Amino acid sequence: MQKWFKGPRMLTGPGGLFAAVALIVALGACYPGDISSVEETDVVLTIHGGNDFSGFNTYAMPDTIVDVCTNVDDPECENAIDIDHSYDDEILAQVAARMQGYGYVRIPIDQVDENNLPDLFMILSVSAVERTSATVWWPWWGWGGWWPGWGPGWGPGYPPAVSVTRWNQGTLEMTLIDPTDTDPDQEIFNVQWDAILSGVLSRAESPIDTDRIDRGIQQAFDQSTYLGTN
Amino acid sequence: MKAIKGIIASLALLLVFTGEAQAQDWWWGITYNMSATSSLPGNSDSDTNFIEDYSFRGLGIEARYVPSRDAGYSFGFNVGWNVLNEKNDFGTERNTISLPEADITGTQLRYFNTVPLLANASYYFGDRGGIRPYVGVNAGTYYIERRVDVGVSAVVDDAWHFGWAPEVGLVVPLGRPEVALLTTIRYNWAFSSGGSGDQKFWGFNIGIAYR
Repeated sequence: MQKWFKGPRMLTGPGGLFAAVALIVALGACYPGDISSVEETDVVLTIHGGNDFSGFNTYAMPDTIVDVCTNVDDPECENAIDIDHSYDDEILAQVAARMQGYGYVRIPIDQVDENNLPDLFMILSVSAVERTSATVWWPWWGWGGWWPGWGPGWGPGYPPAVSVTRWNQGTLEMTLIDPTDTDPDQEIFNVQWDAILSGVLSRAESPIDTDRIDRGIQQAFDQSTYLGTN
Repeated sequence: MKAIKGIIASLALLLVFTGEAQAQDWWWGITYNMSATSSLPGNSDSDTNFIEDYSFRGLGIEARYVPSRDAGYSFGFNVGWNVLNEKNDFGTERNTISLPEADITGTQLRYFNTVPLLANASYYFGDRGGIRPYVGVNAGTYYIERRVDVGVSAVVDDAWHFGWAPEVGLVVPLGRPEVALLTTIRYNWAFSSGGSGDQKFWGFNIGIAYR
């Protein structure tokens, strides 16, 4: 019987043409899909560590959003961008409303002292530098004098399944800390909840899209319904 | 993924030249593979809904041994590569990933890559030289990688699965007895493995077979 099928003809006959087209189509499209706008890079990550929030009833929150890089001489802040704080009040009001919605009673920050501690502190911060999960650091200074010794060098742990490689400049972070078992001098913070909104306060986008900020804050609380178990 | 490309391309070339030496007994085919998941019946649990879209990306290589000229059955193997992908915008129902201690929301790019390596047995209806419908069954392993990109983060799992795939198809002669059009509808069912649940997807393959 004649052998029609031969290697070289595989590349030149009609079957070969089909095979070549199929090969190109298949191999040329390994990872299709793309991000087409800056909004599509927004990420809301909330970490709760399986914590039980049923015992928490009160919280205190500073009246400002803390900027990570205020000292331009700090090498860590060499590439820091300007952070737009004109929306701080709006953001803080949104957070307060959502905390109230989950049943928490806010204690004014100026009434907080060692004898009148809330169950939780809500700290909002924004990072002016790009950062990775390995170098998450918080600016625990300058917001009212309590725990004045806070400084960089500590951050929340990420679950093993989360492979965070980079957070954009202008990332907003909301953190709930239980003052119990917290020792700022030892850089030990009892974090109960952490929410990260990537890049929403960057000045790279001008003017800032407040819808992105609103959406991120609402999403962080929407996906954290366990906060409402108190 | 470059490694997978290389493996498949090398295997394709190997089969081309091996096919010439084995031409009397073996049919060799290369197919263009299309895939679908829960858009069709049979996928009802969350794992199989990982991608809810059709895909037109994939490649397959078929080898079937026919014991004699008049045999109505064949044995063989096949290797393939099926890609499924999906984009979920922020705010849609499926764009929050819940992990044991965390939740992640953002525009998602989901990818499902699988490489089935299957043994095959098929039974052919009809007469030699004519259009021949057939039924078949495949069994073997599936390498499956599921990946979700969210912003600059990624959640990935991959595992080798045992699995099987019943199929129906049609062999259509193309003017001469040594070449035929091969079409296959295959229901792939990879059993749970490595923390990943059962993975199921439909394959629609069309290609050319030689002997």
